[in-house]
Amino acid sequence: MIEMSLISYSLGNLFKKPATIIDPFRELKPPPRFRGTIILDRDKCILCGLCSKVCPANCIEVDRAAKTYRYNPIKCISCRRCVDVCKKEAIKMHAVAKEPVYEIQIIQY
Amino acid sequence: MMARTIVPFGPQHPILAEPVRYTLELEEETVVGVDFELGWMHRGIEKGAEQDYNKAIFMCERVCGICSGVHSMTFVGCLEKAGDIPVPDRAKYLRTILLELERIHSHLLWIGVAADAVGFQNLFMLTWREREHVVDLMEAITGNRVNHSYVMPGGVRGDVDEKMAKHALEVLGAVEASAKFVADQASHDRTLISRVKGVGIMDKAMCLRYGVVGPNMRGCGIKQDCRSDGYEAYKWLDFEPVTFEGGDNLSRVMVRVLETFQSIELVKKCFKQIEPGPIMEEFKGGINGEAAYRCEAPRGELFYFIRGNGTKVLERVKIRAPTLANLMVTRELLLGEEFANIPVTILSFDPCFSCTER
Amino acid sequence: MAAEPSAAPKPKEIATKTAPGEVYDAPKDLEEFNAMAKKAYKNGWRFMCITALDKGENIELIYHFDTQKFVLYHIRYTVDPDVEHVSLVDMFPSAFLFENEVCELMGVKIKGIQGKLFLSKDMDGMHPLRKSFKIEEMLVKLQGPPEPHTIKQATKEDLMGMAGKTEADLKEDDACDFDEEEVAAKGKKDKPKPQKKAEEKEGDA
Repeated sequence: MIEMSLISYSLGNLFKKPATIIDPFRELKPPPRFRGTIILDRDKCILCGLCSKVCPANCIEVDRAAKTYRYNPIKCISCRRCVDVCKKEAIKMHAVAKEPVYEIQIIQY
Repeated sequence: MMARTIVPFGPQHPILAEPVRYTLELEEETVVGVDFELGWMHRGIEKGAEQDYNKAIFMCERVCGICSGVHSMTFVGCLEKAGDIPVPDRAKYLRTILLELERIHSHLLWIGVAADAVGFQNLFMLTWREREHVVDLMEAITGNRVNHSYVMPGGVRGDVDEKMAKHALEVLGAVEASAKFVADQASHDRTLISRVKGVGIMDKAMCLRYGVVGPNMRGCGIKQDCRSDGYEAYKWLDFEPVTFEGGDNLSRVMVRVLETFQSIELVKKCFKQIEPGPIMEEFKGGINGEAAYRCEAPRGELFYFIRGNGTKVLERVKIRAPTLANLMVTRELLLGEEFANIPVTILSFDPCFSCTER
Repeated sequence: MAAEPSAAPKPKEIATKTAPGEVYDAPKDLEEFNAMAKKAYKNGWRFMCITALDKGENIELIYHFDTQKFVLYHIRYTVDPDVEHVSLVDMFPSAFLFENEVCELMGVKIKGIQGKLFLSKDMDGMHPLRKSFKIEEMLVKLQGPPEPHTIKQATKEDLMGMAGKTEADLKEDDACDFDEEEVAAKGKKDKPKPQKKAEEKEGDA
C-alpha cells in the first residue's frame, strides 16, 4: 500500500546514519566565501579612513592624529564593505565565525 | 441562550513563528467574532532607512529573515529605476538564481511548519532536511545563510564559477528527487487531506474585493503573478504562473508545492542559459527622482516606493509587505469556522509578521 | 530629469520615473479625488497601498492601484493635517490597515479611523515619520547609558583571528570545500587531531 511506504521509510531511518553531523573530531568548516571576522595588517594601512566612512554599523574608528585604529567586533555585521573599498588591501576577511566574549572589548591596532 | 467565551489566540502560541493577537469570540466551538492586534514587531525600519542609500540596503534586507533577498532586490530595483542605472545581463541571471533559491527554501520551511501545526511532525523533519541543502547552497554563493547582502545597485557582488555551478545542479537534483518522494507520500495521506480539504473556503469575489496577493490568490483560480511582468531575467525564461481551483486550504498548499518544483526548473534553466561577462557596473552618485517597483516574494507581491532629492541621502522609503494585504480577509474568513480549524486557516495564508510591521 | 540648481527659497523639482503606461494623476479638489477613486473601483482595479510624504506644512498622500494589466496607477493628493480627510474603506475594505498606519505614523486625520496599530501607549501623540521627529532623542530615552566596554591592544592572536595559526594555516582554511579529492585529502589530515586533543586534556588535568 502507498501509505505503508512512508511508514516503512521512516522506520528504516531509525537504523541509518543521522542527517546531522555529530562527529566530535571533524571540524565543520564554512565555505570559503563565508563572511566572518576582520583582520587588519597594520603595516599596509595608511589610515585613510575610507573603511570608517563606508561602514553601515559605525564600528570602525580611525584617528589620523593619534595614529590609532579601533574596531568593535560586537557591532560589526560582517557585510564586507570595508574589504571591498580598501585600496591598499590592508583589511581582510577570514572565514571563521566570531567568538562569544564575556565583556565587550574594542580592539585597538 | 448559549454561553459565549472569549479566547485569545495570543502573542505566545506554539505554532506561531511571530507574535500577533487574535481575539476570538466563541459560542460552543463556533467562531462568531474576530479581532486582531498588531504591534509586537514594529522596529521603525522605514525611518531608519532614510540615510545614505548604500547603507540603507543593509537596513532594508533585515526586515525579514526568510525573504531578505527579495527585499534587497526590490529596494535596489527602485534605485536603478530612479537613477537610470544599467545592469549587465549576467548579473540579472545571478539575481534570478538567488531569488528562486530563496523561494524554494521559504516554501519548504512553510510546509514543514504547517505540517507541524496539524500534528504531522515526520513531514516537518523530512522537509527541513531538504531545506538544509538549499540553504548551504546559498551560503556557498553569497556568504551567509540569510541576510545575503548580495545585490548592489549596478550588479551583484560575487561570481559563480564552473565548479560551483556543477555542485549546485547536483544538490538541486538530489533535493528534487527527495521532495518528489515526500510530496507523493503526503498527498495520499488521508488524515492530512481531511484536515485541509473543504476548510477555509475563499471564493473569487471575496479574493478580488479584499485585494489578496500571492499563492492565496492563485489558489482561487486567478492567474496573476508579478513575475509575468518580466523583471530581471524572467523575460528570457518562459514563465507561466501556477494556479489551482478550489479556494480552500488544500489548494493553497498545492500551489506552493507545485511552485517549489517550478522554481527548481527555473534555476536549472538559468544555469543553462547564462553566459560569461561582467557582473557589476559601479554606480557612484546621487539619486534624484521618485520610483515604485514590485517583485514577487514567496508570500506575494512586495512593493517599494522611494523618493530621493539629488543627494545620497534618501527622503522617503515606503515598504508594503504582502501579508499586510492578506490580513484583512482573515477577519471574514474565520467567521463560522470550528475552533480546531483556526490555526490551520491562519497558517495557510503564510503570514510573516516581521515583514508586516517592519 | 528636471533638477535645476536654484536659489534657496524655491524647492528643487524632482522627476518621477515611470514604466510605460504608468500614470500619476493629481486631482485638485475633493470631488475630483472621489471621482478618480470611483473610477478605480468600477474598473475592478486592486488597491495596493497608501504612501505619505511630509512636505512641511502639508502632507502629500499617494494612493497606489494595480490595473491587472501589468501597469500601476497612482493618485496624488495633498492634505492639511488638521482637516479631516475622506476614507475609502467602503469601496476597498483592505484600506483599513493602511489608513490606520498613515493616521498613526504621520498624523493625518481620516474619518472613522482611530489610528492605534503599531505604536505603544507611551508614544501617544507622537508621529515618528515626520521630519520634525528626531530619532536620537527617543533612543536616549529608551536605551539608557551606552554599554560599558574596555579597549584592548591587538596582539598577535587577534591579527591571526585564532590562537597559534600562521599564514599557511589561513590559506588552508580558505580552500574550497566542494571538490571531493580535496575533502578526501583533508580527511587524512584530520586523523592526528584526536591525539592532540587527548594530549591537551591530559595536560590540563
